[in-house]
Amino acid sequence: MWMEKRSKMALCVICAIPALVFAEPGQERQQVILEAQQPVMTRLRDADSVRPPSPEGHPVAAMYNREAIIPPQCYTRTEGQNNPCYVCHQDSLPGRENVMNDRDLQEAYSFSDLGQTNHWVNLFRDRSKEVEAISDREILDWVDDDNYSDLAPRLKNAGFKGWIPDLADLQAGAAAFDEQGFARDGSQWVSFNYKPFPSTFWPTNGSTDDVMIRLPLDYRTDAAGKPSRAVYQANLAILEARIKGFDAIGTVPLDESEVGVDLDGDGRLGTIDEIARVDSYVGAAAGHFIDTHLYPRGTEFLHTVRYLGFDDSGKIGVSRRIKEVRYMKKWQAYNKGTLARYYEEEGFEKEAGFLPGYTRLGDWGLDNGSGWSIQGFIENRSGQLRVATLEENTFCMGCHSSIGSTIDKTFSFARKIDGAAGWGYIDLQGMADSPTLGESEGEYLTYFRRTGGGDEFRSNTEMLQRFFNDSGEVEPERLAGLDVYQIVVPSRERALQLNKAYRVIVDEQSYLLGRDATWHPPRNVYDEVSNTDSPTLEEGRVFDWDIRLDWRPEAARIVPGSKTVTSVSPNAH
Amino acid sequence: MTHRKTVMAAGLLAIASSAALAGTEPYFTPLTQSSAVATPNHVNELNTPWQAPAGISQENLTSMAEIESSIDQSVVRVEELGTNASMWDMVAFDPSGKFLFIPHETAMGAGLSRYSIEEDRTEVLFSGDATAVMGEEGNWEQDWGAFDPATFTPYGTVLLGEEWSGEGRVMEVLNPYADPQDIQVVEKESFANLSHEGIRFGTVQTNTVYFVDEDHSGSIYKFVASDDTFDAGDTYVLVVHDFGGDASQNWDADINLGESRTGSAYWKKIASNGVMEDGIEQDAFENAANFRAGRIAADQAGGTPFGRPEDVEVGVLGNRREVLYFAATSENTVYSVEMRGRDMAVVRVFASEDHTPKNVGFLPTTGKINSPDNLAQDALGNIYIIEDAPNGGDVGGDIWFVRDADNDGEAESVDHFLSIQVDGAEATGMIFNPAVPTQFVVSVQHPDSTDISAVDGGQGDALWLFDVSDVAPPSCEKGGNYNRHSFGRGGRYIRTCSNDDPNFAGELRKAAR
Repeated sequence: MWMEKRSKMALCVICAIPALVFAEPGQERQQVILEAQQPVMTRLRDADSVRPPSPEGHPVAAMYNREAIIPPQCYTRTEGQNNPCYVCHQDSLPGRENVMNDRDLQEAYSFSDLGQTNHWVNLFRDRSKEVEAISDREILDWVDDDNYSDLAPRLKNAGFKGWIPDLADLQAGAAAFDEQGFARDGSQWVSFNYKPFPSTFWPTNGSTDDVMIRLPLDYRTDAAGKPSRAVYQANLAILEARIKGFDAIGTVPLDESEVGVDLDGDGRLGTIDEIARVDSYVGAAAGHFIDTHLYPRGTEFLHTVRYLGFDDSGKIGVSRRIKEVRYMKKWQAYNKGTLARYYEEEGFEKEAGFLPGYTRLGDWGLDNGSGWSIQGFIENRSGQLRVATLEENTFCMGCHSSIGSTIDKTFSFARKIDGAAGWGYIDLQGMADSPTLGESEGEYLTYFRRTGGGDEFRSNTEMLQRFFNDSGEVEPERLAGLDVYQIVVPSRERALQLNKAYRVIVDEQSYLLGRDATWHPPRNVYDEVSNTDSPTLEEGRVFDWDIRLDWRPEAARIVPGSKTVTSVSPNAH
Repeated sequence: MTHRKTVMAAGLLAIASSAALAGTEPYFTPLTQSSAVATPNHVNELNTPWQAPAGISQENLTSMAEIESSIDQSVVRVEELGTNASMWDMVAFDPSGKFLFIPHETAMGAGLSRYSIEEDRTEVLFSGDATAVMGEEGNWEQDWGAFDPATFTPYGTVLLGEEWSGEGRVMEVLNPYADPQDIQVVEKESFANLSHEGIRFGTVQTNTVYFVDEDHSGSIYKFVASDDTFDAGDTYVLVVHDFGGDASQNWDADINLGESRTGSAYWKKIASNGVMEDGIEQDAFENAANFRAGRIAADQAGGTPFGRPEDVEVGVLGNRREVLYFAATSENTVYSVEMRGRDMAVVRVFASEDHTPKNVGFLPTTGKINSPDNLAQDALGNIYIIEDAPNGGDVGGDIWFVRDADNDGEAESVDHFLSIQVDGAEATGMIFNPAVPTQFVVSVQHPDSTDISAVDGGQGDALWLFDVSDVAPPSCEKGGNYNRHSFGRGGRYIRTCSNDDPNFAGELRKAAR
């Protein structure tokens, strides 16, 4: 049925990339860029195959933005005070594999010559007219479409050799998983409940998402080679403890006799809810290499980025339509020493003035240089998912290769609710604004204090109105009693606007110019940054930060009877 | 063209038999741009990995793919290291020109392979057990990490140095022609523990061996032997007189910016027969995985820091003095160190991106000297600079011919010689054949195609043989841009341009006498 809807949308949304409207002076350069990239976007707009059209010339040489790994957020105008940078740029913590040690990027810009220009010109465009042209009904229908189910057969028909989606009914979100997070289709994907990373992945800033993990076969089978859910759950728990650097971890109730190991160390095999022995995997994976903060070889992550969907009651959650399917697989299991050399060489290359480059793995995407392959799928103009282009894929690489705060180049698993409560499909309701390890205040409250807004650009007016006073200072009492859902999920009106704004980008196929769901240009963003002259954060505005969270109940509590800004619209479907 | 090839080979061979001289004019027409990098296993990688001036041939000697498809051959491949699984680095030619020794710069499980040109056969002579972890103390007794330099000693053994992994040791293969099961490897304990990247023996001061420490505060070392096997002797570090900064800090630390690192210098002794000199507390010969003992000792001695010194070459200047060249990668500079007696020296910028013109007298090039890493030297004493690039870039790394025709240790020009077009790779181990001096080899190191899980049937690390016998020399233009000649040893006249090929070959033959 979605073909029918595609026709409808083609009528209501712009039919050609519109006359380019930039909101600020100095847009001549941006105008030139947009016009120069028109042929690329036109080719993408005209294509409906599951593979994007090949670029003209060498794919790397054909890239518009060789520094696509620098996300738009890095061009924030900090005014010397407002620091959203700290959640990405940190020095190494003891035992971590991540020795990027880029905390200094909070203190000083260090872009390449090319990177000093903000290539994300979509940020500077006023698309309010295009957004206005989309009705609420149209966008509600759009985001409620299933564009996932036909991706796998289309990839198979195209002879795609990389990962082909193998998790049935993922478009349905939570319904695809059981209460412990296991995919109901038997694919062995397991969903988990994590706190969204500040603040790009907050729904109020444009998208919802979910993440699933799958471990290799050895980790899912007992010592005799027989599939075992108990072994799999034990190994997932052990991995969680290792990634977080914990000596013990909670688990869903496990019968140790099924695993054959005294995991809680009480001297007998019984049913347990905590694992105290996390120095070895179990089952067929017993004896496999294990270390803190490292995933085993063959680990897979599946991440979908979605619109803001509405259920029948009007509650906002993941949409059925998927903006992007992102897939990572750990092909190589390097030890920490080898990874340290990777970071060193990355530094050498940057010092030498080389632009970032990644090994292209064909249909498996890009190799991030430290063992992970990354491949994305993104909507074509009509909303079908297609393979991401090299440039679109490269956009993913900065965050998954060369920032200092991640653990083994990933975000969400380290931010999973500890133990049993964290196994299951993402659910922000009831989730506390827990502090990060080493902090005392809620993580999001802390972020508001440090950033001066509810997004990197301090341009999310709804968040400013909700949590900040007229002087631009956060008022902590306004967050009291709110759970994560209530903090980071926008009003219905804003949600619709965000969906429409992204829909415009889809229609234009202008991802290479930026994917942020904006309709008015954000206020606090540079179009050019000077490593030497742009103001940097003042002393006292640079912060330490740990991506892990303190989920202990005493660390953060939800006050019952919380308030919400979401509302039910009678116009919703 | 066989005639010319024969004559030129003979000429260069004759020169090679004596101490190398520093420099001639270029004998080729330089490139005018760097190559574009192609996709893994592209036909360029398989057939012609480098763009080269007219007439210079290149042929593949061997590769990971070739070796691993033969049951009679072997090569180091460390599991789960992807494109870095074999890491062919600075190969050593044996004096006969029949064997090449390939060090493997892998994070663990490093070793040495031997390639026989006549048999077209490679075999691993030894390798570590790949159980140690870079940067961590542990089982390095049975393992080695990141063998970068390999060099043949004057007395017939092969030296290997650990760089960024392992314990910074130098190992010696005592019987490099033996069967693998009989190979004897010992630690060369007379060498300080460093991040070794280049080791070369003196040509005038034949009891001396030079080496460097690849670090942002890396120093320059020499060991003066009191025996024939370089096991006993004194270790020195180079100190520039005018350097007034902090030797323990990086070359570009704030405190060191503006400090002179050229000019008059001296060699400061830091150890004698393994015993540290007074005032130097760190034992420079301590094996450790998480620090480099020799670096600390040099810092304590005030050794002048340079920006990642990598490879070295030793030659002779026009004044007959020995000269050490070393590449400072992070500085985009190659330095020359002229020896003045046993303890004194003069440090000069030999060639650099900032200070040396390119392709003088020829069409200009858009290439830049970017991360100079390895060095090579031909039989006439010309130095070549091999860049650490492109790695992940899309513009090929280059090899530059350094024109120092007046032999004064400061180049008049750098001339664009070769440019690699292999995805994810760098060129390493360029070395001229001591028996056939028109030939040289270069490795393709860590191309994307080494990761056969990502590139099915990948060619992988490979070794290529070049021959300049049939090079098309630049034409001599009367009153034009290029009408150059050089003076060889004893004032012999070496003409590198030609209006007809026999004349050019004749000039070379005369020069070689």
